Formats: sequence, C-alpha cells, structure tokens
Amino acid sequence: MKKNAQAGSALVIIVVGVLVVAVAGVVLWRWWGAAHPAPTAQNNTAGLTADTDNNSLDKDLSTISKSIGQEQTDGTSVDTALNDQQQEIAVPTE
Amino acid sequence: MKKLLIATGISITLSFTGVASALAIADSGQTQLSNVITRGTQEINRRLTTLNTLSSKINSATRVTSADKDALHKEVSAEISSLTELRTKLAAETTLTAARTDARSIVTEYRVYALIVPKAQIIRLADSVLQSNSKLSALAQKLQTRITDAKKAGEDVAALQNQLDTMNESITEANITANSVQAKAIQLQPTDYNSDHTILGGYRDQLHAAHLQNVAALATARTIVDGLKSL
Repeated sequence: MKKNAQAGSALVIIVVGVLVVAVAGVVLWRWWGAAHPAPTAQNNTAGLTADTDNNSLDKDLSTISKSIGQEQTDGTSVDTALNDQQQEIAVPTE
Repeated sequence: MKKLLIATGISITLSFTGVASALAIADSGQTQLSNVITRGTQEINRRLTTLNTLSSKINSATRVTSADKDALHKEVSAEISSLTELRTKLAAETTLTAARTDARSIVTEYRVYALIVPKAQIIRLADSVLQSNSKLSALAQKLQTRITDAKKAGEDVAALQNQLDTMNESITEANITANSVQAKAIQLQPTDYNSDHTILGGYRDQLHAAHLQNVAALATARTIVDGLKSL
C-alpha cells in the first residue's frame, strides 16, 4: 500500500514536471519569436517593387531609344525630299 | 507691155511667198502649241503620280497625329483635283499664249516638289520628335518619383536631381521647337515658297536641333537610371 502511494506521488511529480517544462518551452519560443521576427510580406513586396521599377525603367529607355531611331529615319526622308526639290523644273513653253 | 508682165510676175511671186510664209508661221505656232500641251501634260502626270504616292504614305504613317493627317490629306487631295482639271484645260487650249500660261502655273501654283512633298515630310518629322518627346517626359516623371522616394529614405540624391533638371530642360526645348515648326509648316502654301525658297531648309535645321535635344535627354536618363540602381 505504501509502495503504491509512493509510485503515485512520483507519477504526479513527473507529470507536473513535464507540464512545467512544456509551458516554459512555449513561453521561451514566443519570446524568441518576438525578438527575432521573420521577414515580413511587406519587405518582400518592397524588394520586388524595386526590381519591377528598374525593369520598367529599362523598358522605357529601350522604347525611347527606338523612337529616337525613328526620328533619324524621318529626318533622312526630309533631306531626301529637300534634295528632290530640284525636280520642280520649269515646263518648257517654247 | 513687157514691163507690165514683169511687174505682174513679181507680184504673183511675192504673193505666193507671203502666203507660204504665213502658212509656215501658222504651222510653227501649231507645233509649238502641241509641244507645250504634250510637255505640260507629262509634267502634270508626273506630279499626280508623286501626289498619289504621298497620299498613301500619309495614310499609312503611324507617328503623324490624326489632325495633321487630315490637314495633309485634304491639301494633297485638293492639289490632285486641281492638277487633274488643269490637265483637261491645257489639252483643250487653242492658243499658244493660253497653253504657256497653263504650263507655267504647273510650277508656280502647285509647287508639288518644292513645297508639298518636303512639307509633308517635315510635319512627319515634327510629330515624330514630339512623340519621342512625350515618352521622355513620362519617363522623367517616373525618375522624379524614384529620386523623391530615395531622398525620403535618406539617400543623397543631389547629383541625380541636377541631372534630372538638365534632362527636363532638354525635353522642354525640344518640345517648344518641334511644336513651333509643326504649327508653322502645316500652314505653308505655294505662295510662301515663292517668296522664300529657303523656308523649308530652316525648319529642317530646327527639327534637327530638337532631335539632338531628345538624344541628349535620353543619354541623361540612362545616367540617372544607372545612378538609381546603384543606390
């Protein structure tokens, strides 16, 4: 009877000990988490936005470069038309 | 009697000579009239071919504003109609004087090669410069946003801001020049060319300067983008 009582007390102590350790672990886990936050979704989005903006700027530069290249082509057409002004010869009337 | 016969012979001879001369002159005048009509018709046809080609180019142009397209299209169509009427009128002329007047007007009244074709090309170039200019302006606004954000984040952006200010100056100068040329060139008429043969060359030079301002703005934009990436 006495041995059974001793065994029961030991079991209670073990269960209580396990519970204390578990609660302490949870508390420690939460404290660590608060002290070392994981990268937030907002920070990731900001990084992606910067990359996207840089790509967007590169695309704009490329588009404008082509547009200015077209200006040069149109400028050549103007020069050709001005050279062709000599085709405005007078019609012989004699 | 002998003297009378001689005098009569001389008179008849002279009369024949006079008639022959008159016929020769008339024939020569007719040939001249025919030549003027033939050559004038050739020149009108050459111009009509050029104008029809120009009309197609205007319709298919992608960098010309719809307002300028309409204005140029109306002008070219009017020239085609008038020259076609002139061709009919010239073909029906019966006097050399009238045919000569018609032939001269092919050049002085229409100025197809001297004004209409180069004018259309100048309008196209002006619109082309303005299109690039508009894209540069939109890019400058994006760059201003990025520079402002970087400044708020504590970055030193003084140099970048100076470069952007320079870029904006180039954009503004090109815009003013190209708009000015476009507005003046679209109104040019053959009479304007008749009074100043160099007028189109001046516009070409101004548009070339505006083009160089766009080129400078693009180069500055590249420098700014590189600077932003390195922050």
